Amino acid sequence: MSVVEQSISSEALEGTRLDRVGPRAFALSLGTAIIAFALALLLGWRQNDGMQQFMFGYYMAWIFFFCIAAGSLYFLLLHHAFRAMWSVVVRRLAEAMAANLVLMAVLLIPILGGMHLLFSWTSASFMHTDKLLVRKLSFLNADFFTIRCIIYFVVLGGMAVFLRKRSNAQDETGSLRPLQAMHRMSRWSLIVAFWVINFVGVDFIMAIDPKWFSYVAPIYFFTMVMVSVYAALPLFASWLQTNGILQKQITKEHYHDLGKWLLAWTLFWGYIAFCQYVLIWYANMPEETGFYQRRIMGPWGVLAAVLLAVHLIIPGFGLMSRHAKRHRGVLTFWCGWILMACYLDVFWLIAPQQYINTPLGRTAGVMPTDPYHFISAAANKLLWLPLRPVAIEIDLLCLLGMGGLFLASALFMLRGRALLPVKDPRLAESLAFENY
Amino acid sequence: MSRDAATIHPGVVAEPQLYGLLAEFSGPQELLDAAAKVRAAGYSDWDCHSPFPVHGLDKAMGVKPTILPWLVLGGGVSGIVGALALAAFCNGFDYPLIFSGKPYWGMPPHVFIAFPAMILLGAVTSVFGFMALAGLPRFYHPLFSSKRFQKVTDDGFFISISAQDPRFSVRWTGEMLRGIGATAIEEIKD
Repeated sequence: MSVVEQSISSEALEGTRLDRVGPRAFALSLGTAIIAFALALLLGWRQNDGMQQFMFGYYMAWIFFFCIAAGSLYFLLLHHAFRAMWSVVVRRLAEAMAANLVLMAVLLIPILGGMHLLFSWTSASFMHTDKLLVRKLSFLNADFFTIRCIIYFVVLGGMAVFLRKRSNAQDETGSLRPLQAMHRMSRWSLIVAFWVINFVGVDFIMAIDPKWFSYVAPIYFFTMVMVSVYAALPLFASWLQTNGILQKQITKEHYHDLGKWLLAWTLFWGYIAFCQYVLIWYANMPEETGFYQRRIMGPWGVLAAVLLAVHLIIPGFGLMSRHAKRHRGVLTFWCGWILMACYLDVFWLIAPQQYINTPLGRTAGVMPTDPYHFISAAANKLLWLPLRPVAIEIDLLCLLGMGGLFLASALFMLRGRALLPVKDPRLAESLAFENY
Repeated sequence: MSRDAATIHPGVVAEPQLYGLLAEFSGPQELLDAAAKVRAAGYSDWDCHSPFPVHGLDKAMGVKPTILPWLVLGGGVSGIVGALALAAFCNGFDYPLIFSGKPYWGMPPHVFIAFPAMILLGAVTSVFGFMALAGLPRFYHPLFSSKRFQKVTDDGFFISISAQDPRFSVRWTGEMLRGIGATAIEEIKD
């Protein structure tokens, strides 16, 4: 690889550090996180359900932010494997979010501790009610689950830390060697990370309903991961720009390309969601249809319809135009919208389960025959009531708290560093990038 | 005696009419500069010709965005609506099919029909819509009569201004083109 000496004027590197914004935003988001978690814990304790409601809220928030972190890692791997040029200017932001996988690993500990509140497969008496479930015990047991979690985070977190370290080294020395190392590592990591994320999907989404079988669920989770990052990355960049950082470096051309990816993954999400649904609909086997029966009929069906609209149809049309993707404000709006839809997706997948195995621990092993036993027929008639028993404020507080920690950690990762990989040989090209 | 068609068949073949002016420029940058000036001079019925895409030329010429995306959207939507209507009529009304206990009018299988129908009609609209908007197929263009214009596939950079343009006059347009750096100017007869 030949070294092309590039000249980037010092003017082009103006406003590429967090400076004063960093510590203030860090303190603010950390403070928000502490208050939100304290409130969520208090409200969760007052539910008097052995903290189950809190654990579900925490779990959903954790999945949502794991998606963003893992997606950022995958974005980086794609960037390095294909030696992409256009995305050099947002590389460092993705590095910070990918390094948050370390944070997500720490935040996983409460989930491992409260496993029995989340997963019905932790109850041996429940698992022995069904021959199918007994055969799954060799995979779905607390020890193996913990081991798998460790493997996932050693692999994914290791990749993220490696990319961050190499990237730092390049900033200091300006040598091409770290870039080559990242390229070599990304080629095989693309495949490994893909499989690891798929397995996370099996463990954290599919296993929430231990009876369920779906070949598509892991790739569905992978799609959630990819949609999240292409929504979170422009949002993060846009937030920094509002605070006077990277204002000249990230242009509408970069937003345009991020927007194209966002649209593509949003449509792919719809495609995969439909694939999964239609296969199960056609085959019509009880061990598969139960999952959907509980999620598309009755009160949760309203949420399913809303999800279809807000995650696919509305943003699909909203992002279709080139002008929408090239306008920072409009794109930012759709990024926020889609992130909200992503959380709704997690909520729709996870939250119903809480009421299907309720009350876990006390009557473990009994699958209620009526999946909507938790709600009266009269309440079904009102749209807002079905969601009421979920104690949604705890979920939202957990989301806020986790978001605060996520942002604080990302800002911590970016402290004292240039927000651009200043010695990347393709930086000049990326700064001048234009869609023709 | 002249042997061209107009003398052999008087009254049958029309007199050659002026199509417009063709101006040659020495390179892509010159073409870009000239395009901006022609645009500033207020011409509307004109075009640039180059052997390869010159980045920024659309902007310099002030080319308006095409309406093709809207046509394709219309094609795609009519594909979805048409396919769903056909499936609803056939399976739900005209000849209800009993199939493994599924409802006669179940949405999921019909998405398989609606989705490719959307792609087909969208793709067909984009191909034929593009051809219609670009005035294709067209086997002959007056510019092809110019020997000089053959360089456009190799190393020639040209601007042609149609005689139909309201601002067109052989003398003033010619002078304007020479003034903005044309290396050669030719009258094109149709």
